[in-house]
Amino acid sequence: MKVSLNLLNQYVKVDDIEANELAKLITAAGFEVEGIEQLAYGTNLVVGFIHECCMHPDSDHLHICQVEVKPGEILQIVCGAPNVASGQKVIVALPGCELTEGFKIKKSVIRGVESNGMICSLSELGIDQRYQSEEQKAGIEILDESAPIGQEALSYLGLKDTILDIGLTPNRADCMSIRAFAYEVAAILNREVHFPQNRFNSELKSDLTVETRTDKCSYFSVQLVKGVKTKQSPQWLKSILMASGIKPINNIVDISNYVMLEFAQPIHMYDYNKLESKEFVVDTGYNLSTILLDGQEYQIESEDIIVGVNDKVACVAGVMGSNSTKIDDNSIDIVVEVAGFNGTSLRKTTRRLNLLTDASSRYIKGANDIAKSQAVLERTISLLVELADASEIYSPVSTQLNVEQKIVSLRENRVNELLGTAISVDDIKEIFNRLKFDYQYNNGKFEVKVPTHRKDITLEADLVEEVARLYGYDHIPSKLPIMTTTAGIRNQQQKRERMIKDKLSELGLHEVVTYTLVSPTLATMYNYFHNNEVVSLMSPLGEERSTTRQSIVPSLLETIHYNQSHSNKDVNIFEIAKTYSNQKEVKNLAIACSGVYSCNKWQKEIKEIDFYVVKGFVENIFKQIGIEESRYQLVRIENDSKLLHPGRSAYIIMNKEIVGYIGQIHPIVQKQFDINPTYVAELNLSVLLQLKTKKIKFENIAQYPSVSRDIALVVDVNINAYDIERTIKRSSQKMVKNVTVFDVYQGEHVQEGKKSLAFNLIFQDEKKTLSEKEVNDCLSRILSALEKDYNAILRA
Amino acid sequence: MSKELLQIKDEAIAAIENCHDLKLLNDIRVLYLGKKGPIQEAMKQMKSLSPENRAAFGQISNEVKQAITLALEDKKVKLDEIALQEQIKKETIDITLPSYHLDFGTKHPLTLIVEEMEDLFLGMGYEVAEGPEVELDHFNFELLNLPKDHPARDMQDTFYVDENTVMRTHTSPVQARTMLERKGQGPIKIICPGKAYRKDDDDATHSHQFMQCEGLVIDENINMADLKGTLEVFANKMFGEGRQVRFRPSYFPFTEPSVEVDISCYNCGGKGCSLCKHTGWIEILGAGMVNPRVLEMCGFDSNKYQGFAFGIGLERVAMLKYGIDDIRHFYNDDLRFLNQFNRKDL
Repeated sequence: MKVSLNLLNQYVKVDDIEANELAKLITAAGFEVEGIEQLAYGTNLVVGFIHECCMHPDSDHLHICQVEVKPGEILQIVCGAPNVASGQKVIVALPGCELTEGFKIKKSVIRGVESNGMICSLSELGIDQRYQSEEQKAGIEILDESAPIGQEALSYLGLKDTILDIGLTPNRADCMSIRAFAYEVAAILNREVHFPQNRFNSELKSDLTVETRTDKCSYFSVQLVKGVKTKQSPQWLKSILMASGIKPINNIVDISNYVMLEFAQPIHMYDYNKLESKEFVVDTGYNLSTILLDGQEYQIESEDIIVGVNDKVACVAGVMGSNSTKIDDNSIDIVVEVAGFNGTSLRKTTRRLNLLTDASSRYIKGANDIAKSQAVLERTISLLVELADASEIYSPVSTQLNVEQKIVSLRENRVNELLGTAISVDDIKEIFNRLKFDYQYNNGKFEVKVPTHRKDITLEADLVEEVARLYGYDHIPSKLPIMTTTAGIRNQQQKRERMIKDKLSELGLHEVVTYTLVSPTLATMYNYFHNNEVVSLMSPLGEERSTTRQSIVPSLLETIHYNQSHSNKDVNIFEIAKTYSNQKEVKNLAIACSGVYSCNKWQKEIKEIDFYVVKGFVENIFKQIGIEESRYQLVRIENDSKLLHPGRSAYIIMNKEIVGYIGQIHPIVQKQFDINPTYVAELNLSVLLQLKTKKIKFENIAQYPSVSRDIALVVDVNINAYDIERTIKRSSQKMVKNVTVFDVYQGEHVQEGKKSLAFNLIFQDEKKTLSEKEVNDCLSRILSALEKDYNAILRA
Repeated sequence: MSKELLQIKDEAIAAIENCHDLKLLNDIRVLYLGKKGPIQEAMKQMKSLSPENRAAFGQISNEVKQAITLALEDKKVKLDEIALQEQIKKETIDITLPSYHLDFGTKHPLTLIVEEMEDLFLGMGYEVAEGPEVELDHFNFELLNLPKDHPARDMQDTFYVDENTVMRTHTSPVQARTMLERKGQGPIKIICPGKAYRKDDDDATHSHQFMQCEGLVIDENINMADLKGTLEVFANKMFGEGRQVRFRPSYFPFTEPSVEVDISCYNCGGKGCSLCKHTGWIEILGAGMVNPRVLEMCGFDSNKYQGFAFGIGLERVAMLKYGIDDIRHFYNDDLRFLNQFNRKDL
């Protein structure tokens, strides 16, 4: 909101305070001043009179003007504006004048002719072009004939004004009314407010009638004014409007904007002579299309509030008037409307019609104060008389105005209880006085009559806030809470999640954070934990961010693509994030690795990422959170998988449920994402973090020596090493404590379709030293079991 | 004969002295102390001596043997030492060659901020609470005093999933959920870090997805001074000792009174610099006393309980703390960005 200090100063004295200082005080009371600007710039600007104007001999567009800049003092000025002419009053920048952007006016010689200043356009003074008419934009500013020669031009034109740009919080929309804002400033500065009084008691009765048939209109009032003349507004009004961010149009439009500026109450005007009937009826239930005053056709639906005459749309209430009843330059007799319309309803209407006007936004935000309707009408009428020559004023016609007097109570001790302060009752009283709140104080309790425009105050806490912001938040002391001690601990899931992040980053992986919202295609890709019912947004920013993902892996593949196309070739990353389908939330952990895992080139140590590296990460995680190997198993994925390489990928199964997968990205997907070979794993942490695990319990360290034996077996290529390992352990009857694969070989000396697997076996007994014979017997038991189960042959 | 022995001793010791090789030293030992050596030879002749001379000769020959043995041992220690030195010399490496290590993994900078906050607040007895990101309108808005069509809803552009479901626009619904879980029974002390979403086009300062951390303390006597003190602890931990906290009045539907919270600029100490736009203060978060309506809707007696709440944008904290100038860095996940966060600031 732009606040003209010239306007504000009419109601509360602020011109003796530096704008910066004022801004600080206002900000400290809850109205954030986001910027301070000048309406116009320039020193040494005066009103001049052009006595003579002739063409420059060496130019087809320059004029040589003789300009009186001080009574009796004439300067020669060269001017290039097309609209310059003798007999005009103009704005002259004298030598030494500094305009915007360090542009300084000097005496000069233009094509051989001396020039002692510049005749200015509004733009040259820094006035935004959007406030100017086409003529103003095209040339110099021409002033009223009565402008006094030699007077300082900016002050004369009311353009010497400072504007505060204020960010209003939604609860203080009432301050869109400069009068309401003046109350605030007066309270902050502890000063008085003064408003112009306009009283009109007209006995003339018009033929207007009003009726409301919907509860979405709380009040409706119209007043007929005759003999109005449309013309330019006076300069002071134009300047105030420009400073307030409004483009001046003509006196009628400007008056309605000015009154809205003062009261935040939108007013609407109808051309009396265009009304088919003089009976105004406010109602909903219309279903038709109509042309509004912007010339566009709009579809009206039954929820819209309509001001109708003769069952026709005279105005879409609070939004925009109908084209058929609009004021034009020839309008003489005007009906002024002041009303209260339901903001929620207008919100829907403006959204549907895409017509958020200045008027409708005030209703929607609840900025207007219907209790002031009478004052609004009176102010409008008085301005129409003063500035638009209105001659016949009829008495207003209104529905019943019901204004409820709101009383909110405040227990005096609540102030200090909530704020932690030691504010006295007298302090509170003084603050309420400054705010012009009427109150009764009895037995430690205030009963506050809240001014009608303060719709934000309904609770005791709201009054505490009023006290706090005027008392000053800087005066609130600082301490730590004194309360029951609570145990600040993470729960099991939170601890485990943190351990996983610690572990994976220690293992050299980088944690990333990617977007939850993805395209519908990516949302369901690599979905192994959800059903296929995605969560989609009703109106997304774009298809790319329209659906919540069910797997993190596609986002990680995109991250790998981003990095690999920015010359980060080796990308080893992970992310923990929540994923969604309809009715289900899962916390996923995804790992994606591409390129080299670790290397020391000069030592020829280069470990490329492969299935086993990622499998190691997964095992590390399981171990870290205490899930033993026996509780899960890897199962090869389907042969026809299109997402994972069928030969190099596995599900992680626990209790017959897929809790994760490890594998290589299918070459087709790899190509699609334009990345190098990539291995991924994804785990369902919602399941894993909640699992119960064994507590650590000490076991005796074996006291008797162990025996190590190596065996090499020839088996079919499709036999899993893990299965052999399990058979070795099982058939050894607990004598084998540890089995390690130390060689896998296929090729020369091994039959086609077979492979050689070499294992190291550690034999040990807890109660005695094993004899050679015992070990040999056990080994033959193992070998015969292996032969039986897997047709495994001991390699020579 | 004794004279001969003594001569042999001198000879042997001279030979040992001049020997610089372990193998030759062994040869010397064999030569002098071996079975065919001169001492053994001399001993053989001992039988021919008179008993008196025999004893004297025996003593001398023992002495000679001992002296040679000692000299040999001495020399061996020296030569071993020399050999070791040589071996060590040969084994010397270039200690400046690159080391072997795993790549330095990193946690995301937003995680670093979350963990730092969690550790701080856990230490003060807070718990960490979480809630869903696809959230019911009821928790995200209504229980926070933002009924449908409340004008303040326009403050937040919301991603709606359907009429009653949204992508949560802040972490505040976790407040409401926690209060309802506690069934009107205080105290509550929680922080709730997590993701939130708003319908903003992504640019240098806006992100449709972002992280917040909510704090909520409810008990019988919690007031704004407690809020100020708590945030001072936070500011000092996060941005260094000596930070001051300033409240400015503001508006949030779920708190009353509501404040914007500034911290004194850690860059200039409050004197004014480009970071704080020459104000000496940096806006960091929003806070306030829990609105009594929110307490009541969430099952707490607002005459018995009161409390404070605050909400911090974690990207903003990270951007200020680490001097990051574009919010998109957090979500591009460029390794050259991530690699810079390879440790926790203490």
